[in-house]
Amino acid sequence: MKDNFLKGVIKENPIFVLLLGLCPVLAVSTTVENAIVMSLSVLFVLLGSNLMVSLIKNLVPNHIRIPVYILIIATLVTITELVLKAYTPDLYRILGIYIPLIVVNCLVLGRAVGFASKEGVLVSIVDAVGFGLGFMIGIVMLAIFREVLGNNTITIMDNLSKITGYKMVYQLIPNTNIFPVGLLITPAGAFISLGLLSGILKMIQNKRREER
Amino acid sequence: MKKEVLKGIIVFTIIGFLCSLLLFWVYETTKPQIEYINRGVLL
Repeated sequence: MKDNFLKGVIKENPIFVLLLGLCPVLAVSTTVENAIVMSLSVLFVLLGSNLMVSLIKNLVPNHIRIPVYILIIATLVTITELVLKAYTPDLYRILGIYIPLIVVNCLVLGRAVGFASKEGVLVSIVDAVGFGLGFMIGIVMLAIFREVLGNNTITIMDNLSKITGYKMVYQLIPNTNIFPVGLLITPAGAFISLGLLSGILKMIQNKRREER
Repeated sequence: MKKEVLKGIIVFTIIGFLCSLLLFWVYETTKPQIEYINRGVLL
């Protein structure tokens, strides 16, 4: 159980190790707030789909497995979309097409087909939480890297402040001629940041392996 | 083979129906809030 949880968070991190579901990760990681809301949406869909798929796994004939799973995932994504549209319309506008695109996120479908359809309910829930948290850690790390170096701010609550009543946008150090590096906020910067962070994490992993 | 296909159709229909019911309930719950926001944007 513990291994299943840690596998998704560290060993098989969906963003830095498996490189799954990168489309929203690259597009949405411009601010920490967007990254948190996106990862919470993915976590909800992953948890719901793993739970439902593991519950009905014995009822679904093998040849219609994937259409049924997509039906379930699409329902959960539409629920997420409606809730975001109703309660955080600004974030719904910013996240835009990337919320409906969770339906075809290979992480969600991969866990449903590859894990939940073979395992029990409890293990599937633990797996979903592990991979959801792994996705959250990855996207938030990338967003912190890009926002701090590219915009010199950390936005934890800006559009969400209408619901929570707290506005949390911080500027870390005074701007200079060369800092912040605007390139990191652009789509090209997303690829560069992801490559750099993946490389650094791989280097740390290799060093640890050598020490053992 | 025919029996398997029939079972597939029945399972897909039942799950689809349950998913639609769930979606309809969420839609009805969030509808007033979405309409309120849309009215605010239009004004």
